[in-house]
Amino acid sequence: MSATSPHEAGLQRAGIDVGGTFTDVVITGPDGAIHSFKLPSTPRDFSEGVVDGVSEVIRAHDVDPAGIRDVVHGSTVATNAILERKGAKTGLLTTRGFRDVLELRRLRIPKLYDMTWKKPEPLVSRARRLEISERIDVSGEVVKELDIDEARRMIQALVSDGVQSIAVCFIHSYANSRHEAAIGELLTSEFPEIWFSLSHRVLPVIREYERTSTTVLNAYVQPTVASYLEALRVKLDDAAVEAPLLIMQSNGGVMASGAAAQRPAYIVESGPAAGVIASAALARAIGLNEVITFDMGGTTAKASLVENGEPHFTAEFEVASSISAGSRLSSGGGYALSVPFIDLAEVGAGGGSIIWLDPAGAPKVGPSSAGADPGPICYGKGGTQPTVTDANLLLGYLNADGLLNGDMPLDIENARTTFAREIAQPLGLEVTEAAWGSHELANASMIRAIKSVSVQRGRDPRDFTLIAFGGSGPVHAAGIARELGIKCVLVPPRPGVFSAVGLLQARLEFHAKKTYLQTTANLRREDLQKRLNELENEARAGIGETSLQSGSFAFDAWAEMRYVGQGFELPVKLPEFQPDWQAWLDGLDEEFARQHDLTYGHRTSNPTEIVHLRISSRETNPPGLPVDRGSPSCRDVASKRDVYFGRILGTVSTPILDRSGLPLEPFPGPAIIEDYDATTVVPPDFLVHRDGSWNVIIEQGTDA
Amino acid sequence: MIISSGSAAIERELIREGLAAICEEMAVSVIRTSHSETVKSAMDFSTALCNRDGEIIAQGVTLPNQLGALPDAVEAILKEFHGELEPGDVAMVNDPFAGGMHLPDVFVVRPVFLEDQVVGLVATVAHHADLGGLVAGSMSPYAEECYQEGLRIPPVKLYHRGEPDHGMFALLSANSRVPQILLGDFAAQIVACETGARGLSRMIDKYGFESFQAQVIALLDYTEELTRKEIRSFPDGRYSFTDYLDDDGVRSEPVPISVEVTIEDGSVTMDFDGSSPQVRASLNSTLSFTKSNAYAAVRTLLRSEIPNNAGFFRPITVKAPLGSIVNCVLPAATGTRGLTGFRVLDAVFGALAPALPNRVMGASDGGLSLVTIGGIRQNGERFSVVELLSGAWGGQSHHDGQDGVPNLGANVSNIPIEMLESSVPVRIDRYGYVRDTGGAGRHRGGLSIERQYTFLEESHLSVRSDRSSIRPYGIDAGRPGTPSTNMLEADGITQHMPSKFSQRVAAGDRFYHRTAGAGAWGAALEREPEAVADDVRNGILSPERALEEYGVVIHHDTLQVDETSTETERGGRRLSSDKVDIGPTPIDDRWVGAEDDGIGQGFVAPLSW
Repeated sequence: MSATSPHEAGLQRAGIDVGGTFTDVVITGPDGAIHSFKLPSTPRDFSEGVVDGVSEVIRAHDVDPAGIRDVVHGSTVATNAILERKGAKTGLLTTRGFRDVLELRRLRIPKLYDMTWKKPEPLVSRARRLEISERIDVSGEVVKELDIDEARRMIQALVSDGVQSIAVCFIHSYANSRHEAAIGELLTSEFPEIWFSLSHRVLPVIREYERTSTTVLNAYVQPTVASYLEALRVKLDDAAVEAPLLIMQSNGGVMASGAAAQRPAYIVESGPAAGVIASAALARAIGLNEVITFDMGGTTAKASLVENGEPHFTAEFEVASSISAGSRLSSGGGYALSVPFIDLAEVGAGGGSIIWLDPAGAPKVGPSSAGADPGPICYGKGGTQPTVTDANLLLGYLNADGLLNGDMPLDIENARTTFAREIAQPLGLEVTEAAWGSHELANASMIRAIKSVSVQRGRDPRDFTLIAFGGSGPVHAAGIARELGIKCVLVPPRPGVFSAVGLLQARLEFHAKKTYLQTTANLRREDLQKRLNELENEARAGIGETSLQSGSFAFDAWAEMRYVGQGFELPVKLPEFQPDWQAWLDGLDEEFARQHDLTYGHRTSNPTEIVHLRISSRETNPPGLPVDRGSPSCRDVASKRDVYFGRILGTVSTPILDRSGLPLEPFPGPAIIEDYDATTVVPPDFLVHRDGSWNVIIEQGTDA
Repeated sequence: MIISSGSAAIERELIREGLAAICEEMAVSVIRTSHSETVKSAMDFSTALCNRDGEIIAQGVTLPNQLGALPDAVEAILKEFHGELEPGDVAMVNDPFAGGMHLPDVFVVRPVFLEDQVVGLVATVAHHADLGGLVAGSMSPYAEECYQEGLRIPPVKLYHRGEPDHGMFALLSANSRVPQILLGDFAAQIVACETGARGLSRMIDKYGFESFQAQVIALLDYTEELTRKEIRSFPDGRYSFTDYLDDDGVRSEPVPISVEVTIEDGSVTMDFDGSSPQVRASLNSTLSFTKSNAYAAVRTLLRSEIPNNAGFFRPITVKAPLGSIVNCVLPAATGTRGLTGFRVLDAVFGALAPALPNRVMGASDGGLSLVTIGGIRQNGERFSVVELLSGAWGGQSHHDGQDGVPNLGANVSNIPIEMLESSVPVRIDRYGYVRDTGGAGRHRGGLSIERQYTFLEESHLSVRSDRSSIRPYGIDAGRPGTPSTNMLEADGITQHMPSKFSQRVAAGDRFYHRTAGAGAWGAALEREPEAVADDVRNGILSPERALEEYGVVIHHDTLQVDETSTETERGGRRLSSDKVDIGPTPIDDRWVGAEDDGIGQGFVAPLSW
């Protein structure tokens, strides 16, 4: 286990990915080598698992805690607070006449023909949504002055009711924040014990429902997130890890824990982001321009696109929405959260997804899941319904002797009996055939997720490499690739903790965005420059909250634009200013038209307008890719077992290898590669080898 | 044999998933490339794949009431071009009397070929921004004949063997107020059809035509079986109901929509005999649109995940007398028939309420209210916007009616107030729930929603709403909903307005629209007192109405239930009411003015601050 390190001394990083089931800790050693550890999460206090994991890696690998430069953390603590309704008792102050905006939402519901659908309960009940006399118009002019005495009485009423956190969202506050700011001052001076979130600070952009909902989410999770981060800090200090704590945001960038405590709305979906960031870093390192990421865990599978080393982003997201088959056509199922996210498609197909028969006997996979508890039947923890993992075991893909180096024994006989009774016999099939069908059905729904980020964006998946990770991703990847015509699948080392590895590559990032409604024709340079300067100052201040100002940062100016009359915007990077203003405006219009054509397949000569301005700042020299020599050879693997690859290829006696046993030259499948934390399946019609960085590369055979 | 049928079930499921994915791809393609906001944001379109006989094998429905809209259009095109379809052809139709529904909905259909044989068809229907006629948008409520409504397109070819028919495009373009948007949306439909055709061809290649065809037959049979299986769990019988539109917008008489639903051994027949003759206004529905809504009603009552294909239609029969408002004939105007469609849904649900009391909910708000505001700003710029206001669902056997949701027939979004104010010269003074609305019941009906406008410049205001004189029904002794209201304040004088009107307004005038509150489920005296108190605490029910409607006594100070007084109050009332109502509220109890229900209150919140 010796290798030279490309890392500078002192650039050690710790990455900690906390999911609902597992906590993954990854630390780069001084030589750039990766040390990882996986342990069960501790939902009662997630910080316990985190510190136990960090301490274990430090102990086992003799890491000097003082050498750790920073600790990068991705956490579900905010998401859990929302999903389990365990956030703060929250109040909302609105402009008179608009207390119901939060609950009316955008009306649209996520399912057609479903009378039984129930709207998610608002996070703030109507009794705690109070109206204040004040009104600002669309141009920022005050139509009605703020009644501060009334506001004081309303706040007092909320406080008497036991409210701990207050969200404030006034109509058009993005255009004039004076009234909200006055409420902020009142709260600071007279109610210092109350947490508060002002909409113009959280998200100063037009569209009152999205802004209100985002501000409410921020207020709702803020006390929980802040106290969690505080507790974690104390525990890390106790473990002699004094490095600054950075938190992963939903857009894949990181921010200082202090900033995260102020704007927790930005870290709500940080979990899935890390895997995409890891894929992007890997793609940059080995020169892959077109990548589809495929992350399959216990309950869902997620797909996203990475082009030229960059993920795609969206600001349309709903928290706590049930899985919608990866469809972009449904919305309204959760709580709107309009901050930047890595754009992912998610489907309810994971290892724990339940296989069942509908009333007319059609086999179905998911979306309900046995999760981690009780989990698949073969886990022997009380699961009684057949799952995708059970099917994979029956096909020979998983090692019947157990997972995780044998620490997790599997009960194949119980899985077989139940599968036969529940699925195979009603269908009149052999168990293996039925398991194969189930495996294929799971693939079909994951294929839909992949298509929704590729084909539905005008991309041909055949031009892409599939990077597969997560506990179950490498089991299914080759079959999916075959179906989509994807020629190459890459399985990185430690696929089961790949997301945590992604944390090691995250960069500091801060976005300052504000609505600026202006037709392009009427745009004035001085005004635009002034607003961009304000945003840049805000972004600098945002970065300044970290203690890592040594890094250098790039500041990019963006306008989110549309044709006048459209209901949604497209981001356009502002061109460099030039002396001829009209020429600059024409250039901006041209760039917008080009983006519009790219996205929607057409352009027009209609007038355009700017809706928002944004400054994105990001660290320019991210940490390099750690050198991973793959999972250590962890056990004696059986040399061969029988594996089923479908009716045409049949059952084949298949060599079982570990990663270190893979040659650098491609050889024909079938093969099963068993890592400590995941299993990779190579069907007979594929070739497999590893590259110099211990990535497993699976390619469609030329004659396939 | 048994083994192959099991494998077939899996293959069939893979094909079903694949077909659904293609329809979704087509839908995303329409959204991605269309130009109009109606298509992009309101998703007023659908996509479908058909077998060579024109049977729907998969539909990507994005607007609920378009389920079943496509078969007639596809059939009309197959009939017109029987044996004359060639590779690369694209056909279209919007004629309500030849497979269409109303003029703005244009169907675009493309055949799919395997060598020289038609092996399937792909189709899209999209609501177009404008095809001429009396008003922008081609949906004037005052049109009396279809000839006034815009361009009527019989089944014609738009492309011949891959070549566009330039004459046809010129004709379309010359008949629209917004030709660029119109052509852009046609392009989106054509691209989506190409996407669909490519997907279908690939699938046929993969499985081989014979085997694909056999699996599709199996898929439709399976869908039929799934549908019949669930319908069989419904009690057989004949169930009738009549619901009403307040008026047709021209003459102020109620317009009946009657249906008799027969459930018999896994099949449903809906006969609309007894419905109003077609009207000299634009509320007339074609049989295809009536069928769409009737199918949607049945589909909504089923609990299984049923694929959208012809197999689902098989157990369902829809009949309607020719020349009626639900099966109109030339020269009926059809522009605003959306409202009639909503009432078709309500009528079918109402009929089935006694048969399925645990599935049917109290009647909803009655459908979208359309508020159109347009004019010319002082600086000469034109402005216009169509607001779709909605809505509430009725109470159900297991929970209260949902507040603030779109009608089941049309899953639309609202326009953000800040966006509205940035695009037209109005200010919204209130948007929210209205206290003491929705029917009282064990599970109350959803609340009315109001929107108050102040006009900042002279404008033209046009409103299409309903349920202002005949309220949404309740179920099983649940009280009916509360009426919709329109009020206009001009020169300091406030007056009630009819449910459908159109007029000029000045700067400073104010308009108030309140949607109808939905009907309740079950008797109000059976509502949990705590649930009543919650509504009071949340400010959506007054303590007075809590007592009056529910017999629940709430302390004014603590907002807690006075249990002893409530027992006494409710006990006394139970003795005096021995009537047991089953099914929807009778019409006599639904008229506004039949009793005092608060309509006289007018503006619940003051117009000014």
